[in-house]
Amino acid sequence: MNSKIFQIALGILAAIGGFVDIGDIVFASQSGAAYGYGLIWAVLVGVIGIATFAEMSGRVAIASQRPVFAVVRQRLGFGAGLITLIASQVVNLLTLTAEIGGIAIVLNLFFEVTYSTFIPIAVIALAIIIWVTPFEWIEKLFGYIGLAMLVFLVSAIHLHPDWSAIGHGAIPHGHSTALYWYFAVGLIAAGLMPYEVYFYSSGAIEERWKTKDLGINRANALLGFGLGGLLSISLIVLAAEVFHPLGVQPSFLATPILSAGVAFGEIGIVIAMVGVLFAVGGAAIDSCFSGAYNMAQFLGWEWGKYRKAAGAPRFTISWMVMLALAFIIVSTGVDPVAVTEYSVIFSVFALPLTYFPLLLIARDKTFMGKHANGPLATFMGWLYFLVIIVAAVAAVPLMFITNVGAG
Amino acid sequence: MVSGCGPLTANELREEVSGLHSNAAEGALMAHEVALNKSRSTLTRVHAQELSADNAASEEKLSDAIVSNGLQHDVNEAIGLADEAATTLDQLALDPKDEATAADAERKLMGIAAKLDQLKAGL
Repeated sequence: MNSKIFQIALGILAAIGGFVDIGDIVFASQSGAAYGYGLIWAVLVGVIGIATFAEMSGRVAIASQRPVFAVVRQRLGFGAGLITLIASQVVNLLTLTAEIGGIAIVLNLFFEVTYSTFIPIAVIALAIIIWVTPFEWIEKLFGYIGLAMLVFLVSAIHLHPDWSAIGHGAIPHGHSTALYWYFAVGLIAAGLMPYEVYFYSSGAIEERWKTKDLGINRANALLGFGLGGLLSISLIVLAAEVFHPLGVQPSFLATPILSAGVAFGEIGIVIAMVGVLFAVGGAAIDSCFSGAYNMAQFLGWEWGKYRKAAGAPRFTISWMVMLALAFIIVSTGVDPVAVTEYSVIFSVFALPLTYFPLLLIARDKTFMGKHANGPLATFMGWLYFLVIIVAAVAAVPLMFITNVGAG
Repeated sequence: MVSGCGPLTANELREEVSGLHSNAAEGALMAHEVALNKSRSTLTRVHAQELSADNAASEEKLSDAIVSNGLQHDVNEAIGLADEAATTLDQLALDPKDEATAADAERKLMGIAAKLDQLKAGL
């Protein structure tokens, strides 16, 4: 039983890193501050979608022992696969840049030196952790300590939310302003960020999952991503309780952390900072590995943390290059919060190119045998593919109309 | 956001005033927590400086904007309130543990937020 519980670490890390990274923390808080509980439904849409695709990607990895990007190249061919690779790598790099900035921000809030001092420290710390720590320990370290983010859930409940308004917010409904739809698309896209499934499906192979682990895969997808969604909803609820009545528009990472302090004082702030540090650190690892996985899987290199550096040298160089590039970008002084908002919106272009080939292969009985999609998974997959297409078409106009969410 | 090309519109000014109101309201909330001894000094200092710097940037944008006569008075008022809020936030950052300073900062920032709200409503 104990080992079963620990086996959902992959899902928790993928979800905490994917759902509550720096962008989602600020994005969820902004939407709660602007529209109260009104956008909870958008998180639920994202959660169900990512759980559907993550389960599918894990199942494909188990049945074929091939991760998502290998499938993308096989189904789309070199040309379209290359476009997917470029779009995905841009998103991975932007995300990694933002997360490194996020780590530096939280360390500055903790120790009050300067933000720029902590940027190289964050990069070196990530490099050391990735180099020396086995994959399963990386999962556990960031996934489980990242659970300190639950302080936002406890804080939201502690401040006596309006449960009936939360229930109303969970039901999809329209609104006349472009800003509302910008947040809705952003929350859905943040939930479906493609690096989550690249990391998740590659992690399934890193962990050597076999067909006997299909149940573990399902539990990871449902519980891990469900937990990520719950944390995201907690941030919306807390912002609705604390910031909405005051007219505060959160645009700093410190603002959501402050809301945990409103509920529990300094201890709430410290736990929130630890949670955010490890969630953002987990997202940095997710996106860094995803970049290296994608390159290696697309070009047919040896890959995998389990092979050690000498066993997969080009994979190792790839994650180092990702870290170095992100370091250079964040050192230019770009605002990490703004970078992550662009990466979330830009990710909608990579989403169809990632999920379409996955959907095709997961329903292919000649490839998947008895593990191919059933009618429910096929229906959900196509339904979400439609959602992704609509989001992709709407994202850029909404970004311009709302001045990147500024109003 | 002030675009920098063409004269400042009422909408652009309203957006800028909204941001200033948000900073003042958030600063007041943070000061309230300090006054109750419920905060962490490192967070208070760093975040008060962030909010103050954001106000200073907004102040600079408004000062540099081309303003039509009809909006000049409102722009001047927004600049004045942004400056007042930044000064108060700087005081909070200087002494992030002092409960009396924080209580005073909370009162001032709440007043500034209320004035910014009125200014926004009139635009």
